[in-house]
Amino acid sequence: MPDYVFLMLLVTVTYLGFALLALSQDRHWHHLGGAYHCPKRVLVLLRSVGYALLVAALVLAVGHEGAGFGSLLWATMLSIGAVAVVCTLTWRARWLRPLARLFHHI
Amino acid sequence: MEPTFRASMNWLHTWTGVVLGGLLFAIFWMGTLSVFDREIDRWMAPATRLVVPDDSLPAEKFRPAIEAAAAAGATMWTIVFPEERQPVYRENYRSKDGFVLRFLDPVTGAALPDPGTLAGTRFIFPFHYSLNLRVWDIGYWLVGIAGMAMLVLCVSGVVIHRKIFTEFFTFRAEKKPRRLILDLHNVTGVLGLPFHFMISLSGLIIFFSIYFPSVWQLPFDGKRELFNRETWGNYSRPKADQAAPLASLDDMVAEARRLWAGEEPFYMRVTNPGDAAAVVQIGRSYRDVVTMRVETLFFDAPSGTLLSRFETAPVVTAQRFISGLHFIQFQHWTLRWIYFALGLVGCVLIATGYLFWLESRRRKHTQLGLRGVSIVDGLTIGSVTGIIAATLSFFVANRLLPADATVLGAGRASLEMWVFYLVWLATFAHAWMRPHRAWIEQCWAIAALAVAAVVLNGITTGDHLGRSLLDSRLQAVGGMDLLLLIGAAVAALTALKLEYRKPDPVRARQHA
Amino acid sequence: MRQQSLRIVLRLLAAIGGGYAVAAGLAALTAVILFVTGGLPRSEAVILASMLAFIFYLALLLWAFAERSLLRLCSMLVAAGVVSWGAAIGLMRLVGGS
Repeated sequence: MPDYVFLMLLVTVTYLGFALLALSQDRHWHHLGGAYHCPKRVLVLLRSVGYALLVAALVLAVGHEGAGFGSLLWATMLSIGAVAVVCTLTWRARWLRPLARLFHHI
Repeated sequence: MEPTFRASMNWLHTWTGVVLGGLLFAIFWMGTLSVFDREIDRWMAPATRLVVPDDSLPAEKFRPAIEAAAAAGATMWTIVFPEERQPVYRENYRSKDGFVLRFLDPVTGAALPDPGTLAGTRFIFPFHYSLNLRVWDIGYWLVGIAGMAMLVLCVSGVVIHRKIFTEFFTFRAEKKPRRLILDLHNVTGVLGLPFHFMISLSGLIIFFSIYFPSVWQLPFDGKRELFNRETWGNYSRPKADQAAPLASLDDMVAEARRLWAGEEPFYMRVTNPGDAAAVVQIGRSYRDVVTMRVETLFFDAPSGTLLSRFETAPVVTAQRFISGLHFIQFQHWTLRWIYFALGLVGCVLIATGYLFWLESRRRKHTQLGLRGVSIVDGLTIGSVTGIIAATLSFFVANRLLPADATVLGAGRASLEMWVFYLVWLATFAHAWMRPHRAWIEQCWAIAALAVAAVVLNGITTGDHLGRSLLDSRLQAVGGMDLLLLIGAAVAALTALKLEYRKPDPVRARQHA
Repeated sequence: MRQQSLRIVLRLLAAIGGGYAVAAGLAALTAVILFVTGGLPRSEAVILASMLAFIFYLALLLWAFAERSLLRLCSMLVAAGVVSWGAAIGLMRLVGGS
């Protein structure tokens, strides 16, 4: 795949992974329209999908860039993705509402 | 030493941060800029805003230069080949009259005029790892201490963070300054932790032979040459004291390309040029790998036959991988930008650490009449906004000083450095003299200097943004101008925000 | 008050200076053991141990500030320093220098 497609995919997967992990925390779950506590089975689902996405990002990065650049890109992209999620939660939390709603009905 | 482990780590974190934070900020700031050191070179040395042609020059082209160096008494002559980020040849040798460094045009091979600046690769980058203090390696040791301190800060910071997981994504921008600063410190610290730990440790590991000399000296009986030969494959042989001509350099380069499956050489070095025992050394480029591999070929200069071929063993290769992920000498623009961004995150982390210390003590110190807060206040301002303003003055001076400028025997390149150091000193003085206004005024100074740099670049070189953004030859210049403008905007917004925030009664009383 | 600042100075010296000496000793010993036992070539052993030295130093620094008894800290550092340096130099002598 072309480099820019790969990069966009990598950013998206990392971002989504962290967004789900954030959502699994009571503070953000509640803030994004959920109940006070995130229900246990939703929490498990959010966390497992979240971590799976982060692992998928590693596979994607190593697959496209090789072990050296891939692992380095993944490790640094984790910080970038997490910072992006923090910024979204701080200033544009409503952007994550659709994602939260998706899990409210599970 | 305190009653609990966490309390001890808290004490350690606080005092390490306050004592070494200023030094750490300087190192992080210069390191972040070093990510784009070659781009800064293009901006500061307009004569080198060139493009590497597709076909490299024949190596034979440098024969006269090698002969000239030999005639000048050089025992070692080196040339580094051009690449995308550094589109000039870099020739150097040490003659009887001192060290000679020249940049050569990539198309003609002719020497370019002296750029009159140390720019990114020769001022900002060495500042990052040696503070440009070369006496007794004192700069290296200070940077080493700061690097160890950063590791200590990373670990102790994790220990004292009470809610590392529940507040993993928490930043409460609407809260009071103290809470907001701590949130920002925590978020940048936790989310940037892998990078900050990795970058500090790898920085230390690069200079292992300086920081832990005894570890190689004991097994190698203090014989540096032996250690270098076994580890890095340094090949050397004594001079024959008999003149002999140099065989075809092009054949040697061609042989190197053949042995490396078509990959390019990175540099070529002739030891004892003109002698019958001269050696031509060609190193392999590591442009396409993280590892700064040491793959070197040594040729017998008079015959052109291969004397020695070296490739590093596994552990040394791992060390070169770790060095490579610190040096980022590879071509990878995505990673380069990520490093730049995470470097800035590190700067924010260090600055907010200071600010939190100040905010949590301001009230108490004012009441008790202690001077700690006002001293650290000045230290913080000078270390944070001060070094940024000094760096920008360095850029502005670069565009203002005439090519033949000299003051008290100091040439143009030294004058630029003097501007940097004097402005930096002045920012500390300013911070202590006008504590209540210093943040705001220095932010304005940063904004003004950054805009001035962009404007001056446009006027003095003609490569203004309208042109540089459209011309691939000027990518580095356009990129730097853009970043300067973004920086100016951020500084101006910060100044405005500080100017119009709600007055803080404690602060007002302190400065009354 | 004065006694307390003296204790802090002593601890700083023990942690930074003593910790460094012990970290270097442990790393030198690691290098010598790896090399003498034939586990690794000499240069490889040195590089591996040098990289570990920073981790040793980090651990020692953190411990030096966590350990409550200054006396125990100093005596353990001295003991570890003597043992690691002694063993490293002794082993090197045993195999006949370099």
